[in-house]
Amino acid sequence: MISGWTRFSVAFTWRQPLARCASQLALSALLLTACSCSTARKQTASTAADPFLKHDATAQVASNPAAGESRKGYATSPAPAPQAARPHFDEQNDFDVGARSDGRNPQGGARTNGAIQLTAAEERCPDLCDVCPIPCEGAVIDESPCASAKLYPDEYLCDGGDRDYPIHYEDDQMLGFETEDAAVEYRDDSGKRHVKPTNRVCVYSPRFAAVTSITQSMEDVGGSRPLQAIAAAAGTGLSNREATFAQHQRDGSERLVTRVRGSGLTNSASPDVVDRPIGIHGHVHTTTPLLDFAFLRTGVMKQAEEARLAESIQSARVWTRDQNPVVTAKSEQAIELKGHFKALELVGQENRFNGQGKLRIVKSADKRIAEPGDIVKFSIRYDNIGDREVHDVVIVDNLTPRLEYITDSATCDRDGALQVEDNGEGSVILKWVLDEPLKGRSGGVVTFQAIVR
Amino acid sequence: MQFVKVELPNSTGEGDGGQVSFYTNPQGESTTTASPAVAALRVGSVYRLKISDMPDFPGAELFPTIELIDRLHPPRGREVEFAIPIVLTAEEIAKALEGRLVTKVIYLEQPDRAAPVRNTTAARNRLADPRENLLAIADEAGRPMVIVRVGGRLPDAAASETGFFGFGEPVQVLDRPAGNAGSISAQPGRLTLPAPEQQSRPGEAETE
Repeated sequence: MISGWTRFSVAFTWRQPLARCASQLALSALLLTACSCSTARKQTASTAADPFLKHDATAQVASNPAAGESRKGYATSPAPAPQAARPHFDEQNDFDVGARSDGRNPQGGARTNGAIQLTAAEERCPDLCDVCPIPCEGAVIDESPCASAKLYPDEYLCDGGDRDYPIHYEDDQMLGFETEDAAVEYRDDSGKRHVKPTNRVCVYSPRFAAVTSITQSMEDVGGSRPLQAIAAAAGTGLSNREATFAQHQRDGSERLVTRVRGSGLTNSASPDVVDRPIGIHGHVHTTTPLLDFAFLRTGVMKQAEEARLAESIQSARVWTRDQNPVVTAKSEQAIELKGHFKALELVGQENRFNGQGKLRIVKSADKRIAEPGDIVKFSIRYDNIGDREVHDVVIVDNLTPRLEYITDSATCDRDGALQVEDNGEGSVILKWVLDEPLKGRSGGVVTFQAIVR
Repeated sequence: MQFVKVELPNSTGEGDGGQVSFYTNPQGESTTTASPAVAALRVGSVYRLKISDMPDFPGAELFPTIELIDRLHPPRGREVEFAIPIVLTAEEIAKALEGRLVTKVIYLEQPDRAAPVRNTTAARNRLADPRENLLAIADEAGRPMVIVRVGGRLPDAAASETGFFGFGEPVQVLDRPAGNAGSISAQPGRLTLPAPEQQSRPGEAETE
């Protein structure tokens, strides 16, 4: 269970110097341990009639007149006995209609208890634990049937859980309820419908068959021709084309050639009045006629020159720049960037005691090994671990084709009706419909027997 | 090693169904036991057997081969109980004595594809067309475990040179029929079962 304590400790450690990390982590672990212990005491003390809890003497199910015998019979189940000395308890996750739960622990830490696979997420501590037991760190080879059934499923006969297509509802019709599936459906006090599959029970029971052919021997006079095997594997080509990453920049020359044509003016005045004639040999007028303004010469702006002067000023601005306009061309390959973001950590706090009714269902078998013809007794334990009652409780079990239900072998410790339907695959669907709502902190057990085919 | 149980017709477990011999070396030495005969074989090897003393076929001897191609994974200590059954029917033996070749593929059924019928292993034998691929059929219905071939071939003088009796693959024959749990002893060729009180392991087969 990830609680608020975990989050607190991690966040606090980030802000501390490295030298203090160890002590902070140790403190956090201690707080987390203490939290789990206290929670465990509450559950253990208040949960009734739980065969997987050590102290179930105060089971409320015992108040049911019909429950006494069932509990007594159920106590002979092999699962609780070996676990009495090892107080590791697991509990299934609850989920709403349509959620996926195939009997696997979402945290990847499914534990097994004999023939029972406990799809639980939380370990609980015994009543009087001062220091919670530390899980074994060594490698443990799980030889339980359910663990082996995952590796060699064809050697085991399994029942329970929710295999393949998940159980869900479409238009109030339950779908995905296949053979081997077993679940309980109910409504909480708010009317919301829930479906919860059981754990998966596996029994080692391989069954064999044979296929035979009978042939007539024939004389071979033709000899054997060499067999030719031509393996033509087309070459695998990998083309990787990457566009050239080119960048062109063209800068124009910065040289500006301006040609001003010189204007010649020759003045030949006759020396009629002047004794010494001064002849003007040459006058070079460097100003083009376009710039022949009075303003340039005298500094006095005349209104008649204003328009021409403005045009000349604008031209001067253009041609006095020391650079030509620069044209830059740049071609780049488009790059696509994709990002995927995943939640690295989900921190939540499960409050299973918020008062809402919640069912837990555990299935078990009285055998771990069975041969064809053997009778296996299955027990389905259901408990309302919430405070409020749940309604319309129906326990359904779709038997695998290799299990043949023994007529009238089903039992139930509460008032209700048993419906036996053909599942279309050679076996039946058992459906226990409870008449009365199931109160909080109460539970019961249903059983049935089947012959291994 | 994987245990197999060879069962001849009309075997009641009292040794009246015939004798089964497992050849232990290429020279033709064998270990003989009564049907149903249980032996531990090595996966991947081909073994030669001899079946004889069958009440329904007096004087007849056949030399079938067993090719073990896969194995089971039973709980520890329960290997003998879950030997692969190799059941030879009277019809198959009769056909073999007529000169036919009987090929049988024994496979482990896939539970979700298993027929919903209550029957025994002997009854779960399907006769296929000779043109069909038996391994493909078995692979489709489950996991092929053993290929058995029974024909009329007899060992000749050069049998030891041609590998007729095999090439000395390891084989351990159980001294008594299966039905009780046992363990493999270190003695080659023979298996010795422990005392009955030592066979059961607590907590593995809780019954009502």
